[in-house]
Amino acid sequence: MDDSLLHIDNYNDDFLIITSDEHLVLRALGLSIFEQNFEFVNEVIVTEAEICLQLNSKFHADHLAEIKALKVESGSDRTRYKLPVYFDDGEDWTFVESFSGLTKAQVIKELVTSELNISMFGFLPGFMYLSGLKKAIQIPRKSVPSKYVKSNSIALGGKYLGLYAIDSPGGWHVIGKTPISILDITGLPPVPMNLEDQVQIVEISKLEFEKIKAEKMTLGEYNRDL
Amino acid sequence: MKGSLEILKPGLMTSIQGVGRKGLAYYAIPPSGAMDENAAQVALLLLGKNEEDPVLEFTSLAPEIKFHESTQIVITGADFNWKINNQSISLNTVMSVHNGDVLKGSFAKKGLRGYLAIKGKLDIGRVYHSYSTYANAKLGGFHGRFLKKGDVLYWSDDELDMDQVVPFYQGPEYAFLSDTAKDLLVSTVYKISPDTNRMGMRLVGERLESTSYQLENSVPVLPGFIQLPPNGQPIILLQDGQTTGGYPRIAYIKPAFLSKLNQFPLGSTIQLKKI
Repeated sequence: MDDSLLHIDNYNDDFLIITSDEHLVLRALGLSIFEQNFEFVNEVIVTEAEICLQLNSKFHADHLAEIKALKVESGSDRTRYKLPVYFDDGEDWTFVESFSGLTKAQVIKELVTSELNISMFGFLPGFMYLSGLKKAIQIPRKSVPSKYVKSNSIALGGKYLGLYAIDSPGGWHVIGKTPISILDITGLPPVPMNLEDQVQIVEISKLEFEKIKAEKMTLGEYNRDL
Repeated sequence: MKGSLEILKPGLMTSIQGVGRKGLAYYAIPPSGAMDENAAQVALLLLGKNEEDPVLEFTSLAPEIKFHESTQIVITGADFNWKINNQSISLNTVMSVHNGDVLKGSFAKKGLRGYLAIKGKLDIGRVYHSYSTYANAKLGGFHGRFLKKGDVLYWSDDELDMDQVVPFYQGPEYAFLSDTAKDLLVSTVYKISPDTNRMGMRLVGERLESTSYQLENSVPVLPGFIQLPPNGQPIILLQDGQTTGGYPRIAYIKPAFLSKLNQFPLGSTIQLKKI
């Protein structure tokens, strides 16, 4: 890995934050570091703009060179998925409409015509950060996070569309739900998609939602049937 | 608060020990320290004490000890048939003793050595970084020797337990805080909100000013990180917390401190201290 591309900050040997002007290299580097399983690293967290490595007592300064010397694989093939969403009448729509100045129908139109891709996993198991939202529907996060967001909710947060795979607290604005459960925590990785896969949101009716949910359809099955 | 214990009968080879003094064999000084490290550690752990703190070590025959103030004790190691005020007590259990209580025992069964740890901080100094006694060279422990009849050991209560002070380090977005906010962070007496759970500890106090309450990108977070959401009230991320987040990471607490932090009751107060 080209030394000049990376910037590493060391926080008291407790953790490292790795950044780069080339965001895309961080994803590949993060995967390399994770697969390397360094004995001086406890956790590897990869986000769009940073990699964080939690260090343990085995770490010393010489190890920084080992990280910089890692060979990094370039990106793999991307897949396109359609994700069905029923846009129900949740309480967050009030803020979304007033902030964007658009009606619910207009917001949905902007969303289904946005070209989205998976830019990060993180936050919680199965949670997906989708980038590519049109500027008009980029809504800032809540100032006080909600204590409860139901699993399989779709929400707007800053420049991302998020999918909450499990129940959790959340600071994003919930605008709909998907009948497909993508999380299978009994296996690793726990979701069947990769970084940079492309996602298109498809609007469905309440009836279609109930039908797909009742059939316990998987993402693969839904996309095969189209 | 200060307290003391008095040796009424010394037993056989009773001494103050701790973890040994390491690295001095070059000078022909042996490590000394507790002969059964595991038993000594169990006693300290049960009282939530530091693993380097001193304990009393007994050999073969138990001493008789009178307590002149209340404290909590744990006895581990071999079974010396211990009694407090002539009532049998258990090993490996935290128990309270009070002013006037007498602890005694007889010969060791199923083993040779036992350990007594007390909750209070014993008034013993370190010699070459260790509390352990090396009697041959009159080094360390209680005046460098085994305990005798009439010896009195003093202790004081750990003041740090009284105030809940939480040491923290600057986080990646510490610079976002205004100077006033940096001062407030260490001077505010924060209340631990009842909304606290395994994901995070929410603190309630005066709102902290920051150049931003929302990062452009979601960034990694770990247990112990302190986030600043738009309401300006810090959240300390805990062991079930999320792995990424969009709020500024103004500070962080070392993972080793979380054991202590996570025992602070809801509704109690804490103060943050910058390292």
